[in-house]
Amino acid sequence: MTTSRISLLVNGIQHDLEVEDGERLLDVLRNRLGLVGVKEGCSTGECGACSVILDGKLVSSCLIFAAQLDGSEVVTIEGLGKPGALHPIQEAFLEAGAIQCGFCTPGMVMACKWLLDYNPNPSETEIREAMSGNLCRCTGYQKIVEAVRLAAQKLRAPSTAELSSVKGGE
Amino acid sequence: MAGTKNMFARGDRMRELTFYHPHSLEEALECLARDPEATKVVAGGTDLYLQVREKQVDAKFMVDLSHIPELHFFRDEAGGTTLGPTLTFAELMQNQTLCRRFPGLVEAAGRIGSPQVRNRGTVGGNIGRASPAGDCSVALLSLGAEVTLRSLKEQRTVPLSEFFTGPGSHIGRPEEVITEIRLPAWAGRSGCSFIKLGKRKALILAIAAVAAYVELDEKSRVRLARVALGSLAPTPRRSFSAEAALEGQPASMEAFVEAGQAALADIDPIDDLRASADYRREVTPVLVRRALSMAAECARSLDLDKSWGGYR
Amino acid sequence: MGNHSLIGCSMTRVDGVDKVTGAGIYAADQAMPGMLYGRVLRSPLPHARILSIDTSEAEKLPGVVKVATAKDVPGFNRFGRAIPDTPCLADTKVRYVGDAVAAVAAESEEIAEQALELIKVDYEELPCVFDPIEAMRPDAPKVHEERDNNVLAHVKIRKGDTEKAFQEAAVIVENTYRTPFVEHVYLEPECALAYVDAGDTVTVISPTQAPFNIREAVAQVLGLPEEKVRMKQTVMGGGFGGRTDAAFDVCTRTALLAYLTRRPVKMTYSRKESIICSSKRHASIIRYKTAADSKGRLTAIEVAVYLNKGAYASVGAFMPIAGGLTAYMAVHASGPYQIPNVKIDVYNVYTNNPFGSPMRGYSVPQATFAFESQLEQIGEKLGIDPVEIRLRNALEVGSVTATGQLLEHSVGLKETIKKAVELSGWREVRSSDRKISPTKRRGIGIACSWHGNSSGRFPDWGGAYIYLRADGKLELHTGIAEMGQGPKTIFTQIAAEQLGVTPRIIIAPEPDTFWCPDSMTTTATRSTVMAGNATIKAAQDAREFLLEVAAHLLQAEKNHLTVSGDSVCIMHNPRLGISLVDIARHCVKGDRRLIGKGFWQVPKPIFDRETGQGRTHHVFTYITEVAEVEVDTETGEVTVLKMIGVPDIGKAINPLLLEGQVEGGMVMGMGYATMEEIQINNGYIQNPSLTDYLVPTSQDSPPITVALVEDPNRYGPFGAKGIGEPPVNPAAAAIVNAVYDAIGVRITELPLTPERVLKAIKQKQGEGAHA
Repeated sequence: MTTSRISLLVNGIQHDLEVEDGERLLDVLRNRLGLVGVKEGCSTGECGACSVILDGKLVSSCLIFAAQLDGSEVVTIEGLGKPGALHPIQEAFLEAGAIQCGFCTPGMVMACKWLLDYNPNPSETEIREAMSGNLCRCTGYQKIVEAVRLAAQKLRAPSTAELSSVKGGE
Repeated sequence: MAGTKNMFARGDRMRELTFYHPHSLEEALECLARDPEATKVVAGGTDLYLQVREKQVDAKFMVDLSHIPELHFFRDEAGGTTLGPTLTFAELMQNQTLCRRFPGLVEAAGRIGSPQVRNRGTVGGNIGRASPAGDCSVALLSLGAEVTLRSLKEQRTVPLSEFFTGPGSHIGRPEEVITEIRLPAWAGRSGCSFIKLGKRKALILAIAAVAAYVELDEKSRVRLARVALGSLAPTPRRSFSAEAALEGQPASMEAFVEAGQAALADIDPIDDLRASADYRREVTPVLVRRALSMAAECARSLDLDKSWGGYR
Repeated sequence: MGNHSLIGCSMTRVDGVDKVTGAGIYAADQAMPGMLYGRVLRSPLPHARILSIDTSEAEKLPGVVKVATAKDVPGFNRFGRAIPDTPCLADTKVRYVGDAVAAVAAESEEIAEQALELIKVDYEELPCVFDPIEAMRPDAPKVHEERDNNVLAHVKIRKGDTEKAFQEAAVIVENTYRTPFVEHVYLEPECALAYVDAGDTVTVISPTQAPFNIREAVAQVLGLPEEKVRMKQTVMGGGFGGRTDAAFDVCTRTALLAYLTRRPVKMTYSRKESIICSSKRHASIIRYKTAADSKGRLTAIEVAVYLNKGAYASVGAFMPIAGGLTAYMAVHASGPYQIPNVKIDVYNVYTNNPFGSPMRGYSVPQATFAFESQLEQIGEKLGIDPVEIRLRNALEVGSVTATGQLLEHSVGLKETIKKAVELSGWREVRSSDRKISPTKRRGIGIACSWHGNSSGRFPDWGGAYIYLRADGKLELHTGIAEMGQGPKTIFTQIAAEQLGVTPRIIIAPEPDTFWCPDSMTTTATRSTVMAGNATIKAAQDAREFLLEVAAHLLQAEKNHLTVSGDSVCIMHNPRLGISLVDIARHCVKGDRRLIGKGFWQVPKPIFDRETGQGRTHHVFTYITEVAEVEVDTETGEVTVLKMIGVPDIGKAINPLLLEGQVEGGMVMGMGYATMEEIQINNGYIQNPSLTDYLVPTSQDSPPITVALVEDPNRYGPFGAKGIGEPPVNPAAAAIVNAVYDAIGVRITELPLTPERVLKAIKQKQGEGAHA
C-alpha cells in the first residue's frame, strides 16, 4: 500500500494528510475528517449526493483520487451554515419545501452554491441544467428549482450592485 | 457479468495503486517509461477511476497529469487552434473563442455527463478513453482534429480519424501521452454542430450522436464537409460516404437528406441497453441531416442573406 | 376548536435544519468500537439447488470472524411480509439472482469481500421460469416446491352480468398492456448496524418502513422473544415502499452476524447490490376489455391481470380481510368509475425474477395505465372528449364501486377533473394545431385515479404516545417512519393544535421500538389518517393530564385552565400559569413520563373472497393529472413540457409538504412513463447501476402546477386523507394519452422509450400506406 502526502484546505481548515493512493476524496472527507454530511448514493458519479466544491468547482467526490489533490481547497455542506446560523441557500431550501428525505440535500445545496457563485441570477433553464447532476427521487425538482430562485434572491438582496459586478467578471 | 462472484462487489478502495506526482511533462514521461504496461496517466479521473475499480483497466501505477502546466493551455494562432489535453469540458464550454467558432464542440462538451463530470473530466481523457460514445471525440472528429502523442523517445502527430481502433482502444502506446489536440485553422464561412440522442435529457450516454462541420463557398455550395458519428460503430467514426455525397453540392435539404442516407454505409451499430441496432439505423439519416442543416445554418449566420430556411 | 391555527399551515419541516446542514445522521454515518463489516454472498443463478457450501477457505482468511450459512440460523430460517417464504440464508435452493446464500463478518469490508470469493458453493442448476403466464402452466418449474403451483394469489371481483353487458354494448375496446419491473431508487442504499448488549438484547439500527415487522422477523430468525430485539430507526434516505422488504433483508442478516459474533456489525450495500437483490414494482400483463353504451357510460369491464411476482411473496399474497397487493390491484382495477358489470381476475405468480414488492402506488399505477388508456379509446370511438367521458363516469357521493362499496363521503373526483382542466389550458391545446414544426408535434392528456387509504388488512391501527420530558418538552412517538414525506411535521402540527402548545416544544424522534407504539407499517397511504387520528387522541389525553397536574399545582379548577404556548394558564388571565418545565419538575421522575396515548383503528373492511364484494377502504383519495408533451416524430423522443396535478385530499394539514408529495409522485410516474425499466434477461438484471437504470433528472422533469380539492374525510384527522401514493398513479396514463393526442399512436407498453415510440409511429405510417 502506497500513500501520498497531501495538504488539503477543507471548510477553511488546513489538513496535512497521508492518504492511500487508491482512496477517494469521498473517503477522506467521510472517514478521515468525519464530514458525513457528504453522502454516498451510487459510488459511480451518477447521483450527485457526494457533491462538494473543489477549487471553486462542483465535483463528485466519489470519482476523485484524493492523492491528486495536494494544495486544493474543498468546501462541503459542513462549511456552509450550521443549525442556528443557516446560509441563505440553506434557508431557501428549508422555506421552499425543497427537502424531503434529505439524502440528496447536501449535494443539491452545494450545486446551488456553485451555480450562484458564478451566476447570481440564473434562469429556470440554467437552474435545471446546473442541478442535472444531482438526482432527487422525492421532490420532482419543482421545489428545488424554487429554492434556488429564492436563494438567488436572498443572496442578491444585500448588495445587488456588488454581486452584478462579479457576474461581469466571469 | 453473470455467474461471477464479484458481481456484487463494493471494492471501493484499491490498495495496490501507487501515484506519481510529476510537475513537468518530461518528468511525467519518465514515470511512464519505468513500467509502461502497468502505468496509466490520469487527469480528471472521472472515468478512469471507475474503470480501475471495476478492473476493466489494470493499473499499478498512476501518473497524475493535473499539476503539469504544459498540458493545460489554449492557443489560438493563425495556423489553427490548439487545446491542451487537460482542459476540462467546463473550460471548453466557457472558452469564448470556441463558443464563437466551434459551437459543435462546445455543445458536445456541454452534453457530457453532469456538471460535476464536466468540471473535472478532460478533453484528453475523453480521447484516451476511446469510448464509442465519447461526445467530445465525435465533435473533434468533425473538426478534423489531430492529436500529438509524446514519449521520452519520440513525438508524433496523427489525425484523430486514424487514432481509434476499437471500443476502449487506440493506436497510442502505453509510454505515450497525448500532449495536444490541434484543430485546423478556422475557415470563414464554416459552421459546426453536435446532436446527441439519448433516453434522458441529461447525465446520459448517447444512443447515437452526430457532429457535422461544413464550409461553404461563395455560392453556398459545400466546399468541405465532415460528418462524425458516435455510438454507431465500435469507435467514434467519420462518415466519409456522407462527406463525399456532399462535396460540391449546394447546401440544401436535398443534399443533407442524401448525405444522411449515405451515412448508413459507414455505421456498424449494435444492440445494447440503450437501443437496438435497427433503431440506430433508423435515426442515423435523421441525425446526420439535422446536424448538417444546423452546421450550414451556423455557417450562413455570417451571411447577410438570411433567406435560407431549413428545418431541423 | 373551530379555528385551526396550525392545521392547513405550511410550517417548515421539523427535520429540515438537520437535513439541510448535513447534520442528519443516516445509518451509514454511524460506527461503533470493535465494529465488524458484513457482506452477503449472493446467488449467481436464477434457480438452482444448493448441493454443498464449503466455507473453510473463507474462514481461514485472516480478519474473517464468522462465515454464516443456513445451518447457523438459530431460529426459524424464514421471513416475509405476507407469508414466511424467504430464507434468511438459502438452505435448499436459490430462487433468483441475488438470493442470499451466506454472510460474512470481517474486520474490514475488503476482507469480507475477499472472503465471499473463497466460499465454494456447489449448485445444481434447475429449469427456470420468468414469465407469469408461462409460470401458470401445469408443467412449469416450481419456484417453491412445497406449493401446488406458482400462483401465489388469485383475487376475483364479480358483479352483475358482464357477458350480457358486452352483448348489449354500443362500443367495446379490448387491449393488452404491459409494464416492466421498476426500481425504487431510494437515494440512500441499504445499511444496517446491529449489536448485542450485555442484557442479550439485539439492537438493529437501520432505516425501515416497518420497525415492528422487522423486529418480529429478526426475533424469529434469531429464535428470540420480540422483547429481546430493539429496532432503532435512523434518518431515512427515501423509501417509496422498498424499505419494508429491503429492511427485512439487510436487518435480519446483519442481526444474525452480530448475534453470532457478539460484536457490532455494519452492512452497507453498493448501489449495484441494491438494484440486483432488492424488491421491485411488479411487472404486469393486463388484458382489459371495456364496454360502454352509446352515451359513453361504462357498462362492463373484464380484466385479467398477471403480476410477475418474482421469487418471494413479499406483500403479494392475499392478506385478510382485503389486503395484500393482489387484492389492492383487484379493488382498484376498475378505476374511479361507476361500472355495473365487472369481472376481474388478478393473478400474482411466482417466477425466478427479483421479487415484486410495494412500491409507491401498490399496483394502482399499472392498473391506471390500463383503465385510463381504455376509457380514452371508448371516448374516441364515440366522439366524446376525454374530459367529458371521465365526468360522465366518475364516482361521486352515492356511487357504488366495482366492489359494491357505497361511497358516502369525500368523493371529490369530479372537482379534481374540473380544476385540473381549468389550470392546464386544456381547451387551447386541444383546439390548436398539434403540428408545431415539420418534425415535432404537441399533445395534451388527462388521467384520473384513486387510492384506498390504508391496506385493507384487519386489524389495522395507528398509535401515538406523548411523553413529557424533564426539560418540559413533549416527545411525540407514532411509530410512523419519516422517509421524507413529512409525518414528523404534520403530527407535530396535529399534536400542537390539539394540545394548544407551540409546535416548538414538540420533538418527534425517529421510531424506536423501545419507546414508540406500533402503528404497523409506513406504507399504503395510511400514516396521516391512522397515526394522525391516534395523535389527536394522545394529545387529548396529554392535555387532560397537563390540566390536571396544573390544577393541582395552581390550586385552580381544571376547567378554568387552558394550555397555551409552553405553559398551562388560567383561561381568563393568561399571565397566571405554570410552564411545562415547572409541571415536569413536579411530575417527571427520570427523563420522561408517558402522559398521553392514543390508538385508532379503521372501520372493519368487508370482502367476499368469491365475489370481491364488500367495503374495502374507509375512504379513497382521488386525483387527476394533466400532461402536455412534445413528440419528435423522426426520433420518437418524448418531452414532457408540463404537468398539472389535482388531488382530493380531504384536508391539507400542511399544504407545502403536500405539494411536495404530489410533485415528487408525479415525477416518479413521469419516469415510469418515459424511461424507467429494469432490463432483465433470463433473470439477470442488465442495468444494475444509475448509469443504465434511468430516473428523471431536473432537466427531464417538467414544471408542475399543483392545486387541491378538499372534500373532507369523515374518518380523517381534521378531514384529511392520505397522499403518499396517489400522485404516482395517473402520471404514466396522462402522458400516454398526451402522446396519443400528439401523434395519434397509442402505446400499450411502458416505458415510452424513443425506440418504442418511433416503432409505433412507423407502424402507423405503414398501415396508413396500405390503407
